[in-house]
Formats: sequence, C-alpha cells, structure tokens
Amino acid sequence: MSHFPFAALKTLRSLRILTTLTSLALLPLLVSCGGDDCVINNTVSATMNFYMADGNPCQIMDTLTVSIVREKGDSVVLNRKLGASNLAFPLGYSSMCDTFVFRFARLGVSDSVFILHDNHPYFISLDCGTAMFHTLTAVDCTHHLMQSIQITHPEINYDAQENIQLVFGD
Amino acid sequence: MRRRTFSLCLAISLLLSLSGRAEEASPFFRGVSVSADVFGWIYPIFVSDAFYNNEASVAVNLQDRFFPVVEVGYGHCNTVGDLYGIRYTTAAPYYRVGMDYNFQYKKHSPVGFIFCGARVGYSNSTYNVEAAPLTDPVTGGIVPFTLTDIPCRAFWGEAVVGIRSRVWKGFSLGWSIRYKRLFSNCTSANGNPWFIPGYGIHGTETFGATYQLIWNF
Repeated sequence: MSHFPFAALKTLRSLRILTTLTSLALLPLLVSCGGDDCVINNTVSATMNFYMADGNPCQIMDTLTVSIVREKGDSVVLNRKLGASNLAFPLGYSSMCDTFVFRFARLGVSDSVFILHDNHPYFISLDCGTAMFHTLTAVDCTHHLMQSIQITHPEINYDAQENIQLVFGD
Repeated sequence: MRRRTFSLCLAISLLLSLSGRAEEASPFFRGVSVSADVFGWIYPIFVSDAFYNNEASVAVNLQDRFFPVVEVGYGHCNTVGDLYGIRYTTAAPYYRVGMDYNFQYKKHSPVGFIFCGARVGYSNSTYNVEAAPLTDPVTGGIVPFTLTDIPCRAFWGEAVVGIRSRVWKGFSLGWSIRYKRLFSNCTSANGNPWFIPGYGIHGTETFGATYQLIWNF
C-alpha cells in the first residue's frame, strides 16, 4: 500500500507526458495552412522576341498583324500593332504544328512561322487545376522579311522566358 | 529551425550514447516488438477516406536503448478536389527503416519511455488524374485530360519523437510525431504527384503522426 502514491504519481506523470505529446502531434494539423499559389490564367504562352541581323533587339516600325491559321478561319493574336518587339501566343493543345501569319501592312508583305511542338497535359494540384505545357521541337519561317528563326528555350510553361528568337533582315 | 531541432536531438542522443556506461551482465538483445498503427485505421473511418496509410512495424530491443525498426505499409488515395473536381488516385506499398533511441534507458522505467529516432522511407507508386477537359486556345476544341499510371519513385527522411507506455504485460501504446523531408521529387513532364504513399501530401516537407498498438515479445 505504501507504494501506491508513488505508482499513482508515475502514472499521472506519464499521462501528462502523453497529453503533451498528443497536443504536439496535433499542432502541425492546426498550424498547417497549405495552399498553393495558383496562377490566375492556366493557359501558357510561347514568347518570341524580335532581333536585327546584328543580334540587337528590334522593333517592327510597321503595322503588324499576327494570326494563327485554323480550319475554321484564322484567329488574330496581335492586331495592328505598331512598334512590336515581341509576341506571346498560345499553342494548340491537340495539334503538334501551328502556323502563324505575320502581315506587315505598310509594306504589304506577309511571312509565315511554323512551330512544331509536343503537348504535355500537366497536373498542377487539386486546388490549382490543370494546364497544357509544350516542348518546342522545331521552328521555321518564310523569308520575305524574316531572315532566320531559332528556339532558345524549348520548354513552354509558367516560367517567364524567351522561347523563340526571330531575326529580321535589313 | 526544424533542422536545428532535429540536429540537436541527434547530437543529444549521440552524446548520451557515448557518455553512458555499459551495463554489465545486461543482455544485448532484449526482445522484439510488433506494432500496428491505429491512426491509419481510424482516420478513414472517422475523418476522411480520401487518403490514408496502413502500416505495421517490427522493432528489435537492444539493451533497452537502441531500437532498430522496419516499417511496412500501404498508402491509399482516392479523392476529388473541391474546386476543379479533379480525381486523384494512387495506392502502393511503402517501406521505412531506421532506429529509435530511448532517452530514459538508464531508469528502466516500468511505465514507458520517451524516444527520438530517424527513418528513411521509400515508395514506388503510380498515380492517375482525371480532370475536366481543356479548351484548346487555338482551335476552340475540347481536349480530354487524363493521366494514367504516372510513375513516382519517392525517397524521404523522417525525424521521429515519441513515447511508449506499458499498459498491460507485454502490451504497450505509443505515440510518435514525425517531421518528414522529401529527398527525391517525382516531378515529371506531367506535373507533381499530390499524394505519396507513406509520405503524405506532396511537398518538400510535411508532418505525420502515428498511434501504435505494440506487442513486446
């Protein structure tokens, strides 16, 4: 009987430790405030910058209209822009080749850009949804005003970076 | 801060192990314990069956001080996101190995002991995602979104703090809190997994807990 209070004290102490550890175990559940920083628009765009033949960035001093060729009529990506130095445009989700027509109004000339790409359905998270990312595989263009075109970063995702360099002749 | 706490825990256990005097005439091997995690069984019944892990473990008692442990489990996830209605499914076994260290090994307390430990975990799983179709920005057409059997080979580490209390004869109960850190990310061209069996919800770090029924032999 004389041992009873000590045994009870030990039990109480172990219970106290157990309670503390239980609380600590539950603490992460209470303080965890997850949640991703979701993008507002899930559509990714390819970024194309314009350059002169000497490698310097250039502005198109003409009224430029860019449209994507579609079966059901062309869709305008850039409408009558003066002084354009770059272009951001979406790529097709089901197609692997997109054709863009650049119309220079003052000069009355058109050039076409052909972009081949792979499409990757991309799962972001349950809270942020899904997207379609792309990998550029090849690019080409006609040569009325355009001199050359090359891929600089093939991955098209949420990273803001130049994907294509488009070089204009003199 | 968490890394510091974990390092401190390891340093203390190392110092204690170095400074402790070897007890003479005490057997090195003192038994085997088998345990089952109740948390994994209760959670889907009373909280949510969206995701859970069921696991059991075997530990060896070395001088009441070191407890090498192997944990084997099966992780499930079948959930639908509230915002986008995305269904995510995966199910795969996972494995952990590690060791616990009894802070109170000198006391030989009949009540129980507090321990800290470490684990390395591994799971090789595949996951599926079904989501609403996407609208093609070029053609305006509908593109279905389904990912099937995307592989995820995950490798992670855990820092463990816990307590074991003897309840009756060879039967004990135990709590453990776990800080987990993902070493290998399963990112693919199709994105990240949402749930990794044995680890939990995907992220660089996360927390977990176990509530174990333990049989000591």
